[in-house]
Amino acid sequence: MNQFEINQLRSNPALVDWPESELTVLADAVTTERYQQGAVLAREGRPGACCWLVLEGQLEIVRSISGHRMEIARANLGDLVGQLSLVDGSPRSASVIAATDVQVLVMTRDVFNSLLASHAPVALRFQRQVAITGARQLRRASEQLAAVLGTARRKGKLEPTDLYTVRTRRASTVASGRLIALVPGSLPANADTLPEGQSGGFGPDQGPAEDTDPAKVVVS
Amino acid sequence: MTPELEAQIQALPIMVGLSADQQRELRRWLRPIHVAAGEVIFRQGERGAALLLIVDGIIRIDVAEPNGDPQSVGNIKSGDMLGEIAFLEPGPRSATATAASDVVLLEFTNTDFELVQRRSPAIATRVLAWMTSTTARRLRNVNRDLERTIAAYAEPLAAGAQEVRASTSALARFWARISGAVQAD
Repeated sequence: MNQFEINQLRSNPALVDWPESELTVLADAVTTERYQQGAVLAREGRPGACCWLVLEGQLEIVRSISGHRMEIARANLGDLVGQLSLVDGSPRSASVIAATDVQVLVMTRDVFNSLLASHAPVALRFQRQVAITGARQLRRASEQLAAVLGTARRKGKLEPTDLYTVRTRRASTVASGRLIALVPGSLPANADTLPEGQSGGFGPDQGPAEDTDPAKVVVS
Repeated sequence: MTPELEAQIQALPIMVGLSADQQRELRRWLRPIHVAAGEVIFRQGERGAALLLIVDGIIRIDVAEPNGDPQSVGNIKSGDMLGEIAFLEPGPRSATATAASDVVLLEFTNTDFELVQRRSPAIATRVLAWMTSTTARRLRNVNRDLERTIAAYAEPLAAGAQEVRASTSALARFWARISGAVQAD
């Protein structure tokens, strides 16, 4: 990683309080990538082996729910995306698409695990970031579930305007969540380039289904 | 703490994978709290910074809907955790937690966790790994429930919204092409 890129890491909101020594270790361990607007970084349901930290631009996080494309979040400078793949190696729970031209830091599961195994302080710091990101995602998903469940119980049905996502900024709560209409969008730009015969990314989550209690929500 | 409760603490999922010495050390940082059935443990919007581990009992979780009405989103019980977001990033609680039975909790404050990170990084790593995998499992469950709820209640959707119907059939064609199966339009 060159000096320009290290400077870019230094000014990233997620890394701004990292000591210089740890930033250097991180810079040596990871790579950066650029993607053009519309590029698909991850496809829901497919295996994943890395996560991304947004250095520049914006990523769109999209899930297919009941056949409808639903934008569940946007990731901006300093946001970590796709980190579940570092945790349990399960298939991608959502698709990740470049909403603008983007530059991202790429942390692979192998690099993450070897940093953890070496007990480097940088590993604990990154692990904390992974934990925080997961907790935020869970909070947002729980808010969406509470909103949708509440509407469904009251009205017995859901209409397009009910299928909003509560797009939250970092510190906002349910009560202040902004409501965004269902995105009746098109497929990712290069959906047609999927090789024939491979299973697509719009199926249901393949994750373990041992627990059907809707109560498994985050409480912070 | 009775010997039974100490045994339950040793068996908590957060302790799995730690050596006996590490378990003893982690236990020193965890402060027991007893809550009677019906008492509110914390309210949505209050500030908090502690992780709570449930040793025994059942806790009901309510989240306020955007219009302010409380919506019960279910229960959590022994072995589970609550408060992990505020533990990692101190801030307002995102739900209200109420004891649905008599409850025994262990409190782990974020300032104590900072100390553990410095003194015993191996324990801190283990705690974070457990929290992260627990969070990931819950996230999948919540996503699945969201999907099921929408699938069960969104029947009028395809009939009502032209643009949504258009994208649904495009999706069905795409799905059929790549999977060899035909999905209901």
